[in-house]
Amino acid sequence: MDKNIFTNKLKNWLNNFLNIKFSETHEVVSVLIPETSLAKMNNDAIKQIANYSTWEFKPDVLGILKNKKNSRLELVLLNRSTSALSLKELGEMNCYAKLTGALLAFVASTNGVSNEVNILLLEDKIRQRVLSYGEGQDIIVVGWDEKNDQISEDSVIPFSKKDFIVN
Amino acid sequence: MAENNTIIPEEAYLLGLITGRGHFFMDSFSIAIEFSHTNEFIAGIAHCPKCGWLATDNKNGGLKCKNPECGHILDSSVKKTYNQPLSTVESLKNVIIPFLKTGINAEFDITGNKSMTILVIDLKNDKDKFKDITRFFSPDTSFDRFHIPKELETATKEAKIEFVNGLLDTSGFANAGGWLNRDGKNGHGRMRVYYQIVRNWHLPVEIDNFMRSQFNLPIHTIDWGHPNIRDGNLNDFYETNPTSWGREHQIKFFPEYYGDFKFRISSKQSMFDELKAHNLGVKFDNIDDWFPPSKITKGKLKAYHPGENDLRIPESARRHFDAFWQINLAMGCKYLQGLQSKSKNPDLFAITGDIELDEDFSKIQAEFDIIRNELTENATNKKRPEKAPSTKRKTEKEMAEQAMYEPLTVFFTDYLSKKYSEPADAFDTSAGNLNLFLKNRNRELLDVFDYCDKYRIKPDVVGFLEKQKALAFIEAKITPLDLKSLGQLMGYCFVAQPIEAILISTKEPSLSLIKVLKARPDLLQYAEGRMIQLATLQNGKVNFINI
Repeated sequence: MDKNIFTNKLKNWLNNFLNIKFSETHEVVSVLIPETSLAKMNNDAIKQIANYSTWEFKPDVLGILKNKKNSRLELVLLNRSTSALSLKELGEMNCYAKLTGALLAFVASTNGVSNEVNILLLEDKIRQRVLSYGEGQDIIVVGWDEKNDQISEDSVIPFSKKDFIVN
Repeated sequence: MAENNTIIPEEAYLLGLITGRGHFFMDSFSIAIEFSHTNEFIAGIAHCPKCGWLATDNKNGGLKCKNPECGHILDSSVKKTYNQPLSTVESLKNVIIPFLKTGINAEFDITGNKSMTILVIDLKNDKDKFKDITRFFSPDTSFDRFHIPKELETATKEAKIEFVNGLLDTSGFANAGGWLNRDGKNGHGRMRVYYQIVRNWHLPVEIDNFMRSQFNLPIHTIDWGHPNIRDGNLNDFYETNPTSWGREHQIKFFPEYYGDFKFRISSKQSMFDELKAHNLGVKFDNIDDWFPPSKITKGKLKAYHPGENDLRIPESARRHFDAFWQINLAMGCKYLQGLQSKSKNPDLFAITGDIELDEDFSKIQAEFDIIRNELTENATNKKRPEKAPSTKRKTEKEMAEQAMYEPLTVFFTDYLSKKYSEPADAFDTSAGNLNLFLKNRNRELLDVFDYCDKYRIKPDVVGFLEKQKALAFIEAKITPLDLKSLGQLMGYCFVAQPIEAILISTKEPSLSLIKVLKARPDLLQYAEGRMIQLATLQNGKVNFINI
């Protein structure tokens, strides 16, 4: 699949997902495809978040949510790949998610996770180290089912997030 | 196991799955089973509507009947196609997991991608069962080292059949292309199914001997991933890929003898049924078993291959062979050992397969050696087609990064041995995964760093501190260091927890990275008390950067 088409599909998916899952607790401010690094984005919401000027990276899709309880702005990061995901992409997202304290962090691919990494991630300790970026916060890895144009149910890692993502 | 210590069928099936493609995660009390399906779709076989003979791919497109008196052309669309990932997932959900659940109290989950589906069996709620299962394979934890559990020899017939069913579902493959040039009563081409055994050198003979001893079934051949078997005339060595032989082993058999067994993966069973029906329809009289072995005459000798001493081959098979069955003997085939013990000259039997021969061993060995040397010389001097230039050229960036590895290896050896006051070794490991580097190029280190067997990661330079069994990594860049490159090394560090990790570039790090790290030095931390260090390599000197 063309990368830009995939990015747009993921943007639409994320928009729907956030509106369904967070409608009670958050307002979805925007879901967008950044053209520059977050530090340089001309976006009022981003500029209200502390330390944004050090965020010299560009996720493929960005969601901005406003917590209805305390009006705090929170980020959802999503990176995508059209090849099988390696530790590179996961380590990279771990840095971004830690830096921004993201509410959610996704890595998506049309080819899922590479066979090598898939086996590594089945080991609890390794998976926690690779995916965890804060207390109770894990990067969520998803595969994209091109035939049905949706997240593939059997691709979600960690397994504990499967229900949250597909139901 | 049941109360009387017999293996129940569900458990036997699981043991088969594990023997074929299982991994144990001892800390997580879980088991992962790989179901490989390299191609998303596979096609069945076709028969000529006019005469019923096999029809195979035609050079000009379509299919052509193999019957020389017919030659009818067919459209390829007559072949059935099977979606392997889809059928694997459906079979797991609808057949395999429900079956396993009847005998095993575990949580089951499925993950994977287009080329592989993984069944994850979580036994945290029944740790005793996990221990029971792992004990069958102890001390090994992955399929490339597993043996067939001895306990199966005394199991019930039903359990033995279920064990083979499990083995078939993971390592069995029924493909249209594996047929043999044989004439039957009603046609041509004898279909074969095979077990594909990856990196495990003892399992092929164990499977062969298990099928013979427990079911009295023939095996057609074992296609060993050994240079003398896969590249006997050195064509690949000189023309395409010198290590093309380093593939999986295949144990090939005829499906018509396997009526007692079944695949639970539906696409595999459908293909199996097609191949079996073809062979039964064509009717072959000959069992075509490899045992007893064919004699090795002078005309069957093979050239010496430079790969015969490759470290990937276990010591017992790290030498020259002229026939596949000699590897079976080297790997402990009890049927060949029995034949050898009855032979007039066991040493001569090993090189000729002749049980009656009783001549001067060294004389025959010397004669064979002369012929093998001639064959080797002919293969070496053979005029071969010009090698087409590789289209996979390294980019300038890749070459520049590669140029850093040698000085960094020298630096790292010196740095580690001084810092930790013990001997250290560092290697350029950029060409492949760390576990394969150790397996293929440094077996002695693998004995010490056995825990690296699961590390399918690719740092550029790896240091080994043998006394404390610790690893150290270097990731080299020729661009200014940034968050992305930090994240890459971080991924490797999260997995392997090295004692040191250095991210080095020939350029100064980007200012934005320095800015971020000054505010958030915790981003460099990959384990308790362990941080990635940043450095530059300039004029051959490594300079550490203080954040």
